[in-house]
Amino acid sequence: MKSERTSISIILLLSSIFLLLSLPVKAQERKIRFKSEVEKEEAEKKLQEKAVQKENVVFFQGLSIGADVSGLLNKAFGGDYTYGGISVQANLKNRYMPVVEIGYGKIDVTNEDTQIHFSTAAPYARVGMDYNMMYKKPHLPGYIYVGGRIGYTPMKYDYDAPTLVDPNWKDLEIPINYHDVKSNVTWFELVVGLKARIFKSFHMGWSLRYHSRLKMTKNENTEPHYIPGFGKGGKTNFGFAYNLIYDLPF
Amino acid sequence: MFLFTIAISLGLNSCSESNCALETVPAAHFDFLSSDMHQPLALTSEITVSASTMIRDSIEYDTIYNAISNINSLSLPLSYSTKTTYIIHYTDLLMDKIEVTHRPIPFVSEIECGVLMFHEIEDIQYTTNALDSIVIVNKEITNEERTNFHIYYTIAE
Repeated sequence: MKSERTSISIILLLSSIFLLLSLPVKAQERKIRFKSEVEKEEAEKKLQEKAVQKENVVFFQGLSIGADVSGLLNKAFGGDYTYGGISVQANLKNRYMPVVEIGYGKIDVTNEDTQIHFSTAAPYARVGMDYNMMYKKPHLPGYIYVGGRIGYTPMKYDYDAPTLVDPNWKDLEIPINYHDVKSNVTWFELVVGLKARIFKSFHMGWSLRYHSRLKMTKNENTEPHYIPGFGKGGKTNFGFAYNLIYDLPF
Repeated sequence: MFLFTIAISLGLNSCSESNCALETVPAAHFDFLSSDMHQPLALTSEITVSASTMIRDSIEYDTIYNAISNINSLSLPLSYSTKTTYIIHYTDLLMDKIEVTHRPIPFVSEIECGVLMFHEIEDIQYTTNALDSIVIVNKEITNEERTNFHIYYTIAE
């Protein structure tokens, strides 16, 4: 009986020693496995998180309305034309921002040197989309975006100038009066801008715009000095917009 | 931000102001060519060019070039009527008359630049006392310097 108890004790002791010896080995094995697979596991985890995030990104994230007030500032600070516009923009996945802009541009100016008078007042529209460059950081109070627009205006304009006198045969004179000249103008815009929250649902933003004229109804005698929504100056120019924006509560 | 907006806005406005064309009086450009080789040539003898146009049933003359030599082209103004006549005097007795029928087209695009007078050439009639022929190569006369006519002469051996 005693010898039986002794042998059991020996077995238990040996088992304990074996267990004690085997534990660090197992821990070491685990550690080794963890080290070897940690990157893979983390990568998988990130992929899963991304997939979950993707699934969780709501497609339609709201509408906002904006008012472009840069045209009013332009007139107030000595510019010779004024314009104003409103915009409606949708937020899709906090990444794609389709937008419609409608406005009205106006000018009535006479050059002091040449005494040529030009006037027009016409609506314009732009349709396009912005791309949020910082869509991965929705927690930030603003974002930088790039975008494009197609613009259009169905304008009419007037030119009046002093009678044109032939520089060689002075008795030949031609009156210069062109009224209600119709012209449909289409242009493309490249946009880069910034939008930032100022208070709750109110944002402000500005954008630089490169305009490139695509199509214009040709007139033999005139080209408009100013095109509503496009601006002044030839086939290309730069523009600026300063917007006050409100996120609609739906 | 507000001041920045104003600065940008005004800055961009000033950037958009266009430059006016340097050529403010569009003219018809004639190039002289040899009849046989169609190569540019220079008139070595002195010539005088006068121009005339019809103004209210009377013809008015103006001398454009006086006793110029060694030229290979001419830039001649067109009148604001529909017909301009040029006379090239080679000598006291030798001259050619060139009658250009054209349509004046006033053009304005920038209020800073004034009104330009473009023309569209409709026809040309001429005598062949010294010159051989004239060919219209470009009907549009604008503020861009482009050759409108080739005048062909036979080179004396």
